[in-house]
Amino acid sequence: MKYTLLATLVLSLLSPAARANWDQTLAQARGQTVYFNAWGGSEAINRYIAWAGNETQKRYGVSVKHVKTADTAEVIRRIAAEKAAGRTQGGSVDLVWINGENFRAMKNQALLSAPFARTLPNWRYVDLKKPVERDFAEPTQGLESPWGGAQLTFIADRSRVPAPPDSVASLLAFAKAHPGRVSYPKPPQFHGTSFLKQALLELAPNPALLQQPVTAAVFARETRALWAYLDQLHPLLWRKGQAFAASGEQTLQMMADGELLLGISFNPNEVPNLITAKRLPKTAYSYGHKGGTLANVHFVAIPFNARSAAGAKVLANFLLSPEAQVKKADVAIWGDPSVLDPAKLPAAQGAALRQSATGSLPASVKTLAEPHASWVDALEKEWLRRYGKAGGT
Amino acid sequence: MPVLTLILVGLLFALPLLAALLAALWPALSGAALSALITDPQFASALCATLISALLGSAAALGGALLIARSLYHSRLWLRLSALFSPMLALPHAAFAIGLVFLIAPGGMLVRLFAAIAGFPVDAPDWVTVNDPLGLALALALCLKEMPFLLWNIALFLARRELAHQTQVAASLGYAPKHIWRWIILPQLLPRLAWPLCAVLAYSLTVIDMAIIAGPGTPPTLAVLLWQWLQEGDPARLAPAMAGSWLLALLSGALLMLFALLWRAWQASHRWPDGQRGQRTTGFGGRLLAISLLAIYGAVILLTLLWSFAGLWLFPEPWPQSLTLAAWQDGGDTLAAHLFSTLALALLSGSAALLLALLWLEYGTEHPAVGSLLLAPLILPQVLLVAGLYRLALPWQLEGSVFSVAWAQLFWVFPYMVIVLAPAYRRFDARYLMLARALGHTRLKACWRVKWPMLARPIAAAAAVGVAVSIAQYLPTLYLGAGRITTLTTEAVALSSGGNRRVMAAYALLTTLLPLIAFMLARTLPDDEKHSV
Repeated sequence: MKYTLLATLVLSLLSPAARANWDQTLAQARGQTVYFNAWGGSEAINRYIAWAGNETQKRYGVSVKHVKTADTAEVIRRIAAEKAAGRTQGGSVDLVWINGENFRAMKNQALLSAPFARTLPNWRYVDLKKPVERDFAEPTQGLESPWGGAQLTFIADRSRVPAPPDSVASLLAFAKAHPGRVSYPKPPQFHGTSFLKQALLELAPNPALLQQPVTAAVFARETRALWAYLDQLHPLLWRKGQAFAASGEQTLQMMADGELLLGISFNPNEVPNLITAKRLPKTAYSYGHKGGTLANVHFVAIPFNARSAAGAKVLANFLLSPEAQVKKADVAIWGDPSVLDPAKLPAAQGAALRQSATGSLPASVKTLAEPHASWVDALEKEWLRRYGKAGGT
Repeated sequence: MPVLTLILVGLLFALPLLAALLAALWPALSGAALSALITDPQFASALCATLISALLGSAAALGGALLIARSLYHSRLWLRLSALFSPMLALPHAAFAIGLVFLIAPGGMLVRLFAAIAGFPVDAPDWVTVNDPLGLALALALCLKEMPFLLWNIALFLARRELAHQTQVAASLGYAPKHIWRWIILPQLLPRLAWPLCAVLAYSLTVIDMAIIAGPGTPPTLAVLLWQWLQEGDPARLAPAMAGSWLLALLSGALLMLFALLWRAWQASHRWPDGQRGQRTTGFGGRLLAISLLAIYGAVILLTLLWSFAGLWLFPEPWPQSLTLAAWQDGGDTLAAHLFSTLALALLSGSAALLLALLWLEYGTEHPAVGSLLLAPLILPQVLLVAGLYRLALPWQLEGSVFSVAWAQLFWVFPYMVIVLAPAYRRFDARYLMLARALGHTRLKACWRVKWPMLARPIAAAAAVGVAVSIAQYLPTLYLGAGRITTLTTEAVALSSGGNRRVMAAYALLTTLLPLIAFMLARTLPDDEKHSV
């Protein structure tokens, strides 16, 4: 009831034209089925999406089918193939969970619908201080609507590691003290590339240049220290750097298996989540580096050939609602940081968003902006060239 | 009927197959694509790991299966053992690999048990077991997973009644079982194992899921590397990936030809028995291997079961701190829907493939060129054909329906069924059919009333294999399903990307369950061939 009132309040605040447009969207959306293509590797997230789908069905008559994907690149490949086959409508994807180089790929290949993010009624709550309109330094131009925040989070176990490394430099000392107990996921896996970017941000002589599209000369100059660092680090890693973890998730499993001392994640609330799920011990905790860690925002986008674009907008708007965002931020549900500004919300909801759970990444850890998306490919290619072949350095 | 068979197989299978392969060949046909592939820094090591794991894995699977069969075929243990081959077959490759990794990884069960007894330190040893750079762990996983498939094929052959007559005669002439094996059974068995062995080798060269789980990572095997390139969706990576897929296909073709030549040479040099009778052997090696195989499968299944209920389970604990139903409850609401869609697809593609296989074996040609077209899907990297089929389906808006997914699965279900059914079908005593024809039945009716009922057991076995193959299909379901059609297998892959071992274990067991039921049902049918005289 309270939320219906709130929704009415929101609508009354919108301009008459925007309101008429949104009413029209709601009318079109009723009865539509939205195929929401989203990574399906987490039961907590899957449950949350199922809840959101039930709510949009109840409230707006929009039913949601979560297409669980193992990799978002899969979805982009599918939409690109549909475009190549001339399928300009009736596509198989209505909404896709996306960010970073995947967004850039879709934007560059013109696979996205018209800008819509700012037309969503709940846009008014969005925290504009967060990078909600730049995705890995690429302007979003309203082609995607923010869904949640993420920050690179390192994970350790208090009973094994009382004092974690607080920079990549001290990570090297840590690896020296614990040879074979540290690894990072192999780029181009997402967490692996993120680790490279984190190290680069800490080691590059002029990190500001990373915000610009990459050029060969800048790349060579800015990454020299990174490769020198990795050359030193790799012999100290798990399996002497001849093999790497397959993913961030695997580093966490390898902690539980006693193979690694440190794990990596992009969810600052991963630890309380995994403690609840009985996958990490109660003594597990999150930590960041003293200079801050990589942070970004993840989004939802509508493909150019979506069958149920109106329904997709209704779902995107619901995902942005204070109610859905507060629920999402709850570590017992998912623990994904909100993209809303607590100050713009009613007091109770604002307070809920300001809470922090034990084990989570401390709010004091600063955030570092993602390098421009073009750095991703350049870093991955060079990493594979140098270290992709076992035995090579 | 022969015309109808040709039309059905042509329209549903052969023409789309050729068209899809052409569609996939196109982007690969450029020097730039090939040189981008070969100059990639990961290429040489990836190819090396592929060759080592596939050749070693296939050879060890064949050697092991022959050793077990040779030692035990004449004992009562063999009959009991052969009842266990089909449940081993039902366990999906990925599920087996996950279980095996947990068994032998440095933080895995064997080390934990040792640690519990010997009092190990809290850290797992930094040993190289799984994911080794040469692909030896992958070779082991492939060998263990393919051995039951070969044994199952051997068991089908050994159940023939003429063979019992022949061995009786040989035994009455004083030949020991090992000589009977050597001079009577093996020369008849090996040619019949040719196609199953081809399937094993081609599968080992192109496998993706098992290679990701147990294989090397830096670099991965060639098939995995190409798969990663295709997944990147980068057009610049597409052509080299396609060229690499063709290279893998050529490689399997070349290796198969090499094997055929070796087999001919061996045959030519071992033409006549030397008349030596020799003594009975204990068959100790085969017995030990059979018991080890059973023990590993038992351990993998029990560990998977335990993991699906495990709460917090840290190294070096040999037993989880608590048990939970979470993995089984989480999937609860969508589980029934996925069971249903998986089953519906298996029945649809399985029955269509069975119909095609029966028509094909009865009315089709045995021309080798046609035969190799039939088996092409098993030898080519799956992604090549799937990408081509998907491209064919797109302009017609055929993707995203149950029928198109079932159709795509047909390209693997149908050949596997023919492989399994052909030996029994081809040795069927033609006199039964002649008698039926002489009594005035048409050929089709004679088949329907006489031949097929008499072959009920092998037909059911082929159907069970078809169901198992359909359930295991990931890529065809992913591409042609377009996110609209999902099965237990696609769901399992999506969920396992989160690395939750508990959920992976639960889905591994679920994907085992349906094929297991199919194999058990197949065994309940009467075996006319074995009991009639």
